[in-house]
Amino acid sequence: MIINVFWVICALIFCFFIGGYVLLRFLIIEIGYEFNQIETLVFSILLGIPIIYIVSIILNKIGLELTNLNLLASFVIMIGSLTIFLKKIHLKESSHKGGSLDISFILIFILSLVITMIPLINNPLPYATDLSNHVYYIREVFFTHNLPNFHLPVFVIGETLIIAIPSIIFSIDPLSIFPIVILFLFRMVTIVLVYLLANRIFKSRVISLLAMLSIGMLYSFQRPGTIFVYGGVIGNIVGDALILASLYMLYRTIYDSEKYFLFFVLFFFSIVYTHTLSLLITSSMIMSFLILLIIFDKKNILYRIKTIAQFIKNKYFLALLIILSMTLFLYLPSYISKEALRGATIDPIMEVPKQKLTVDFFKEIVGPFRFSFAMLGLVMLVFSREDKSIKLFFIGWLTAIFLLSWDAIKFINLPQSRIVNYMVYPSSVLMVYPLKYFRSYKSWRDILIVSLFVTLIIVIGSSLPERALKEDMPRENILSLYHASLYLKNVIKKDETVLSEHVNSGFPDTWTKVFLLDGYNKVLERVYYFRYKDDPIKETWVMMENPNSEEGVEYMQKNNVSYIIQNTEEINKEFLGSNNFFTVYQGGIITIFKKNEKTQN
Amino acid sequence: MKKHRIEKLYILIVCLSFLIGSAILVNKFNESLSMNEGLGFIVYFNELPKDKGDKVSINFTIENYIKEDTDFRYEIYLDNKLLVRKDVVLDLKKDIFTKPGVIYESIKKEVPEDSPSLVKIRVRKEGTIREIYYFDKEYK
Repeated sequence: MIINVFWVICALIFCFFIGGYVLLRFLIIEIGYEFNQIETLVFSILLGIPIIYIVSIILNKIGLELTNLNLLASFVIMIGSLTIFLKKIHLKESSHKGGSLDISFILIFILSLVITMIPLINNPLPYATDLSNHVYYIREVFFTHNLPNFHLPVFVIGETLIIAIPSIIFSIDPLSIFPIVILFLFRMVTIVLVYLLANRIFKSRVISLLAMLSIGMLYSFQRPGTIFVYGGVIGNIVGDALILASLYMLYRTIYDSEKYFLFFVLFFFSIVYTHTLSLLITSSMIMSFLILLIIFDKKNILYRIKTIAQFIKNKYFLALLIILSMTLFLYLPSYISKEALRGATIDPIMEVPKQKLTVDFFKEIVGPFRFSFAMLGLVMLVFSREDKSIKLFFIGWLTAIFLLSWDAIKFINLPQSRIVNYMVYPSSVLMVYPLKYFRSYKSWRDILIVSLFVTLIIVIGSSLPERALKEDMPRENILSLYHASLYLKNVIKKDETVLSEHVNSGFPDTWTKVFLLDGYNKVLERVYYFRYKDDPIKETWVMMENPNSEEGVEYMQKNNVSYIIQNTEEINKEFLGSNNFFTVYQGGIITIFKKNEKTQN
Repeated sequence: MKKHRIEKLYILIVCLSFLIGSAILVNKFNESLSMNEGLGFIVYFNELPKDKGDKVSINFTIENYIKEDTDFRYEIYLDNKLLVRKDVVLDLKKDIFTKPGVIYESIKKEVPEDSPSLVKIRVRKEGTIREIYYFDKEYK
């Protein structure tokens, strides 16, 4: 489990910079894009995502295993051929535009980085349930060198590949902090993307810097911030970066040049392979924005559609379309099936109650300070003399999120808070919009107001919640679970399963399956059955509560349960002193029982 | 040109600060993984007790995460009859991954006919007790 710092850094640079940078330079020179230094850095990192997806899917589907040699060779061939091509054309022109960075940017970036790192440093051992579910499949790819077999369509291939592929190339065990480091990278990329988007839209240095400060510091721990990073919510974290990148490219496509449509397609394609909810959100935002454009800016949008239609004939765009279509043909994301869609919408395994959307609800999720100023900013924007494009962009963005989270929308069976989370990004930009009225920043009054605002963000942002400042779960509990899982790995047989306490267990028992790596359902976790419709989940409750009852014995046999993990401090007495179970392992935190096969057959 | 160079320097600072942050996180993870405090002591069967004719072979481990060279007392019971009591001094285990020493005991079967054939290991350390047990009808 111990990992090497050097290889982690190599993996970050190689997988999330070099490939993307070479591809970006190639496209800049061939098609003539204009990106400044920080845009080049951010989009190089993000281009690493489709490269990883396309290379690994095509490689595996043509029959080659995802070994470090095969992957490394594919990456080197791709990067090498693009580099040779670049050298041949002698870098016709420098595409870097200056004026993108200054010392205030660096300070805000470092401040955001530090505030993001504090909770991560306090929780360096992976323990979150979401992360364990993903790391199971990541390790499956890591060891089998093949694409994973998901047991549920909610898992999307990109969430696995984005960590599995760098892990394989540099032999870094994903059962470590490595997945969190990658999510940390995308969180920082998202923060910078808010800056880039605000700068592109408002063309104001102060607004974009303050928007970055707002997203980087204000409520940075809360969802969708650092808590999602160490919680391992891979789809959300990577999806957020891709959503912002797609919107940025869409905005440039419509108001700058049709050639940015190529990047929009690439990032949208990446979302398709990364996260279902992000795809739903992005599609809705685009639809909403386009509808508004057709209503209020018909002339411009029709002209742009016409120019995009011409750009589609570009040879590089056509080549890209062929590669993307081939990838889609070879491997469709697991959620694209009638059954999967039905499971996610009409017939879910878990009932999600809907609630009325109130101002308090939005305040709670977006943050009271951010929400209040964002609403003020929205009103000021709507009645301002700003360009129509800016107003339509933000109204489209917010309308889509509002409609998806509306309680009248019954077909989406997701907690509304998960959708409202996406409001954090437009709100972070809108909340600083009122400051645009202090255009000159030369009078004392203007400087004072802006300084007060900045101080307020820093003060509120620095006061992290108590949870972020301490261990969320004691390290000894996590290590005890790791130890118990290593023990089980040595003794368990192929057809045996483990029953785990899970609910209020006090240790991260969902990680046991990651250690055993012998089927996603090798470990049955006790969960509140009334939350779910499935019968097997109810069985886990009976087995754990009444293991000696007729039903308990029957369910244990049916599910091949051989080992039971319990909290030493809260052992169910029915397991003790019964001829049906032995105690084979005991520490201060975890006790493992083994079922007596002779008495229960 | 000078501005261009300064911007490159800023980009370098952005990249380096992220990479340094990542390195700190990785070091913190490795350090936490090597932590051996707070786990107390752990007792487990390496394999379930085996019947070797007139004897029972018992193979178990005590892992010490308390302090350096700590003495433990373990007792082995066969059908609640104390057969072995020993004091052992165990080294502090470096981390959860280091291979621990294993204790093997082979004790004579003295099992009453009507008993459930229970092998119990009880380990004590300053008032804390850990107990693991196994029973098998074949030990009669």
